[in-house]
Amino acid sequence: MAGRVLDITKENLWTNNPIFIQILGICSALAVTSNLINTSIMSAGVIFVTGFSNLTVSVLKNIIPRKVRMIIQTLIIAFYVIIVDIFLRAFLPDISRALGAYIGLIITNCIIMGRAEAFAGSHPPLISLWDGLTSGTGYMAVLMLIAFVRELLGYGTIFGFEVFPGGKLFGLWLIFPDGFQHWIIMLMPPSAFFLLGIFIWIAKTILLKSKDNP
Amino acid sequence: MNKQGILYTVIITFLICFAFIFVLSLTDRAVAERIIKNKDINERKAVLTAFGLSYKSDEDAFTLFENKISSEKIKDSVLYTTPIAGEKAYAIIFQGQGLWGIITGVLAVSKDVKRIIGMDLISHNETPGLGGRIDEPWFKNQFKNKLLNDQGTVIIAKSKTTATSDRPGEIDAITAATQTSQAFEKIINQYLTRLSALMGGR
Repeated sequence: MAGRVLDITKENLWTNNPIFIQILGICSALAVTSNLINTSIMSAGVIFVTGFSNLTVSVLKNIIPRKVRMIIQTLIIAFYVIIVDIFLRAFLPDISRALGAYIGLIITNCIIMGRAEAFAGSHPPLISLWDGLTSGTGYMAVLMLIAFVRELLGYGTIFGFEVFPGGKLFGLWLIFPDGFQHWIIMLMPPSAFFLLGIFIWIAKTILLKSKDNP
Repeated sequence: MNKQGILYTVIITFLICFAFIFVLSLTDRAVAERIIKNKDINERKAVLTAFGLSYKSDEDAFTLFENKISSEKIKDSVLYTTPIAGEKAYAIIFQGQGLWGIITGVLAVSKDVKRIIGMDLISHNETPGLGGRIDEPWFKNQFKNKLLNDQGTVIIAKSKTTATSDRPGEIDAITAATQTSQAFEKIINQYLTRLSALMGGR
């Protein structure tokens, strides 16, 4: 059992990472990653929703008729997303304001449906919960990486804190001799596309190497 | 009972839907009051900020609003009013189409509608980092004590020179967010016209 838990963790975080390998959930990876604060809260929402929808789907799997299982999974996912939305609106109104429509869009995240269908439908509840939580974490890790680069170059900040006072830090005057310039492209969704491509390339290269020489 | 049969499917689907929606409704009911209160506080804060009144906490904002601000109904519009430097200033809640969604906020003007006293946003759905920068202080502060131009409007455009702040009715637009800037200009001007019609008719 413990070995199985470790395997799932490793798979979801790295060797079968939902974004790098399964290429799931990249829609939100493009949309929300322009700053770290929004990204971390959105991904925390995704972790919660994947975890608990997996758990619920797994608990109910034996009583759900096959032909309506997809629509019921969608219902369960929507249920948790609305719970997250209500929670943020009631207790963290400023964040809810900043995220706007993004929270509602968690429901369209393919990872959640993918895990419910591929894993929770055929595994016991607790391990499904764990699978959901780690899948969400694998997703979060990649999004944070993209958001880090985008926020740093787009706004010149990390979690909202200025990192280039006068643009002369970390020897960056070599790149920005006249002080830091915002990279407008980094604030727009296409930049996430380029970054994601680069990250997938790097991850695949490392993974293929370790496969060749085990 | 046949688990793949029509009757079982219909009954189970109904029961599951019912159970989940029931829990959701309960949760929604439980926090509904809080959400309405948050929304109310948010609006009050925006009105205070537009008038240039500062507050420290939510409670502070609430009492300040109660003490300083009164609402007045002129024709069909509800206006907020507070005395600023011996003269009544007026604020209206504006709402209009941005690039992606509805932008709502508060616009405060002097009694003669020749000067904007301040502007604050309540909600918007513009792109974070681009159009979303309308919610950043540097942009909103441009509206503080801004004289209008001869037409009684503002122009939000990219300035050729840096000194837009001195010229009446000119506000620096957001780089790479031309459409949001234009949409916002349209909303503000629409409400300026409306305000002068309301106040002029008194």
